[in-house]
Amino acid sequence: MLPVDHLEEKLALIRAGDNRAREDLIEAHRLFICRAAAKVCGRSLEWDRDDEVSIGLLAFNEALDRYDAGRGVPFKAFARLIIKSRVTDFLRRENRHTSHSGISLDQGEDYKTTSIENWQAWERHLEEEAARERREEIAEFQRVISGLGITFDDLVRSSPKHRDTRSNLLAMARQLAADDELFNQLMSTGKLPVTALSRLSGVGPKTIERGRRYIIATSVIWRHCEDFLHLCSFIKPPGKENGTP
Amino acid sequence: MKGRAVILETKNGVCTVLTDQGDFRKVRMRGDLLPGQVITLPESRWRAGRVLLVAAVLLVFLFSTVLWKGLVSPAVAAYVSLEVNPAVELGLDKDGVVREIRPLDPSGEDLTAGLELKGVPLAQAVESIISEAVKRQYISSGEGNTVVSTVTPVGDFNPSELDRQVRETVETSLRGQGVAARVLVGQASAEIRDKAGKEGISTGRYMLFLEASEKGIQVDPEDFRSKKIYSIENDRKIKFQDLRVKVEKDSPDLQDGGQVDNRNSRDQDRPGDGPRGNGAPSPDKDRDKVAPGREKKSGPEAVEGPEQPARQDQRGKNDKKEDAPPAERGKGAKTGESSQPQPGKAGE
Repeated sequence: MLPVDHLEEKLALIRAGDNRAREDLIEAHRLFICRAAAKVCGRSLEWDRDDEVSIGLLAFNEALDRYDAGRGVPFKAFARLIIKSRVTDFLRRENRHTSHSGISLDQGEDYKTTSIENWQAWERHLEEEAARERREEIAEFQRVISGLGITFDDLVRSSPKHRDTRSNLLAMARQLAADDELFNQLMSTGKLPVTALSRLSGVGPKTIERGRRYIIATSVIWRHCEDFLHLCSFIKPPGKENGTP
Repeated sequence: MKGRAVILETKNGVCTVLTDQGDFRKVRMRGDLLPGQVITLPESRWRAGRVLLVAAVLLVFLFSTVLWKGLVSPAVAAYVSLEVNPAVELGLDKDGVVREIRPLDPSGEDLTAGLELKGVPLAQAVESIISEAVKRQYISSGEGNTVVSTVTPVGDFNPSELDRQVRETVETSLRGQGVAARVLVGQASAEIRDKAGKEGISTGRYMLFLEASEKGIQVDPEDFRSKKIYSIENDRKIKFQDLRVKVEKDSPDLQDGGQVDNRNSRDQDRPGDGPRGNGAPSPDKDRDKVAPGREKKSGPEAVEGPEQPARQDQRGKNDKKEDAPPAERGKGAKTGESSQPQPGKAGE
């Protein structure tokens, strides 16, 4: 699934108190919430059955209120961190209840209060977590593109220096990622369907050929945007960045 | 614009990053950096480099313009001839900077040989020439020194302005050298300049010759080639005023003229103004002597007797128009101001 195009606008609406937009956004991210919570639990979850999902939903809602674009973390990555944090807390409490372990440093405290009191610690935690996630994404990204015979150095070489060309190629990579047939063809053959892309985007085959590796790599990020939330926020088309102020 | 970037890889202090503009590139960063860290791109070397590059290119461009100007003389916009007995002609560009030096006689060549005139402003060039002339005693105190200068605009130049500028410059230079000399400045059309060139004398002399002829004074063209202006005047009992080729030969006042300082007077210096010198022939004599110089000219200026009174009448009515019949004005117009009599017309 491709990232929500107008996420930024919707977030603004929600912050302005539009509950309808909030509902819509939550609804659109049910799968996202489920997956984020399930990742923490280490098992698959069902929307109407598992408490973890409810915790995730609450956390997502909290993320909507607390998200600050100035922090430099894309919203969904931020939401995922909150979900992870809350679901972990929940599991720890559950665990304590079931195991009756006597240690209860924060027992009975409302987690929200704790969070606010330890705001700075939490901020630090968020930054560390985000960095760790980015590191994981980068490692994964590197693994995928090296499977296609592309290195980071190749990307530096093939990345268009001109901003307009770059945004053209990024738009094309996006189209490619959205097109199942073309993308699968790319992944199975390792070759960029230049002619088809040229027809699709109107960009000349030569330009496409020059930016071949760049297009492939960025289309991979787009295609797996849910897995590359952070990286994805760096290749957003101009004007639609939600990771930067 | 500084942007953010995420570090993908670090190798020996060089980070491969993905910028928030979607650009993969390498940046050199100091400090302990790890993949996954988000950095703010330094106000980039690249950008600073670009500024430097632009500056360098500009500099080279400017410099080459200067060089170009130095090597290839740009279009000359005006010629200024300067006659201090040796004669030289300076070609000026539109900024009034000397681009060409043309000695008009051997002594002129000798005079300017050691001077650095190219590329300097007119005033400075004139100053050098005058001071060199004084040093070599072409101009010396006490004698009847005459500096004759003509200006010939060929490009976009205001002739009156240039005229004034030349006069002031020459006079200032003379004062600076502590010598007294009469300064005659006039505008010469390109045609006059060409003719002077063919005659092999300076434009100024040629104009004086024309003036003398115009006045009907018998002059020997050879005098103008070789003699000092001062001597010519003495010999012929004439006194040149500022350079102009006039139709005022019927005016006794002008004939008598001969002021050392005619500064700013040319436009007002119409019949009857100011004290006049002497030595000039009377109008009657004038008429008798019309002969030799006249041959040099043709056209309406070289009019026969009958037309003269009519002309004078015309001038009497309207001072400003005395210089030429309307048809001629058009021809001579390129050299300048309408109130200024055009020497060029006489030659046509």
